[in-house]
Amino acid sequence: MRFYKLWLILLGIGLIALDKFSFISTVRDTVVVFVERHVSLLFYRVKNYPQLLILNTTQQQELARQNVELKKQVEQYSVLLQQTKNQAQDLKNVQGLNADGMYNDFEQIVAKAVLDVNFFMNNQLLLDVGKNKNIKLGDAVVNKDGVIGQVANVNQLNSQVMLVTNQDFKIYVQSAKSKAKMLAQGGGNNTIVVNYIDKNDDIKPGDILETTGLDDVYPDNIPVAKVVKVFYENNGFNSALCSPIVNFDQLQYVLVLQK
Amino acid sequence: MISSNLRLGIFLFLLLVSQFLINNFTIFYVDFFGILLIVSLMSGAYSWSKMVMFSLLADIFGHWYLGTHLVSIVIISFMVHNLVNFYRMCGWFQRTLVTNVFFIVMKLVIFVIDAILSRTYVSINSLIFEIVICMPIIQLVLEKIIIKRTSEFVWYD
Repeated sequence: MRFYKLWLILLGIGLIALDKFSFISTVRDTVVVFVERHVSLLFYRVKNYPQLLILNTTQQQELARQNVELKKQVEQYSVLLQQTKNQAQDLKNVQGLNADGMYNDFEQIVAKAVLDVNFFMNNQLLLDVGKNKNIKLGDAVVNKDGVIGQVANVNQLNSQVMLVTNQDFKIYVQSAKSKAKMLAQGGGNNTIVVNYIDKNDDIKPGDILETTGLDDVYPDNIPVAKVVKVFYENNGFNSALCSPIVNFDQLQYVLVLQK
Repeated sequence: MISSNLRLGIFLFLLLVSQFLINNFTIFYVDFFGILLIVSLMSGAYSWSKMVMFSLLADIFGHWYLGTHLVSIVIISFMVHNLVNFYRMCGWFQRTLVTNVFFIVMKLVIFVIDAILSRTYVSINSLIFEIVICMPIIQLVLEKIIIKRTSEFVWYD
């Protein structure tokens, strides 16, 4: 038995020597490390798979909430992008207004309209420029469509514009077709009223009223209003109800004109 | 005999998996097959062919040099030759103490062999874990479940 054990010891020593001084050790270690690495990876995946697969209710709600927020964010960014594009186009339009030299006699200042419902309700508009940009009381405000109004109040950093629909606003206009002169006044509720129209003047619904250029405030031939209805009254004159040419709800950039 | 070998096979597989998991996913580095060798040796219920197989398995899956466990267990077998009957008379606790002593001796022999071959690894935490927790459990399972009846003592020469 002892010889048997001695042979076993010799066998063990031989194996140790073989393992130490041959490539067996390298091969064995490589195989074992390879197997262990892959089994570890498998074990890791099995361990973490339930966490990925089975989300609890709180996590699902959280994901749903994040999803809704992200969708809202996408919509907001879409609107913002569209607004930016519109503003860029509007700015381009405003800056190109004087392409035909229409406003050569006027100093031009580009301003941004601040869309505020409270101002609209009072037929006014707020601009983001004021005394800092040398805006003065009575300056004309126009855009590519036509006349917007007149500066009624100037602060350091902003100014208020009296819209053409304001009941305190008056402007001398002429018919684009017949060039008949008349005085237009704001009627409130997005209307302009023209009184005392000579019965001989051929004014019909659909006619465009434009500036005359005689008041030293506006250049001539800028559209102001469109005739909606004509009233034939008994005092020897006609009256007309008009709507402004400019859509005030979509204002972005405007041009302030100074004589 | 078949049921004994089946239980032994299952037990070996479980030991292998447990050793792999503990060695790879905890701070411990255990040698379950070393414990198995010591307990088998002390109980006298072994055959050298199985001991050689176990020691080679221990070397392969424990990253020791091939033959390290074989040399150490054969050296220890000279020491425990006269203690087998004493071991059989002891209870579970005393057996655990005795096997722990010889397990430490085996680790010492393995350490010496590794030191001669310029590769040593010592982890006191792992040794304490093996002695305090693994050794009693494996010894109990091996003697109470795997070798259940005298008729199933298939490891005798």
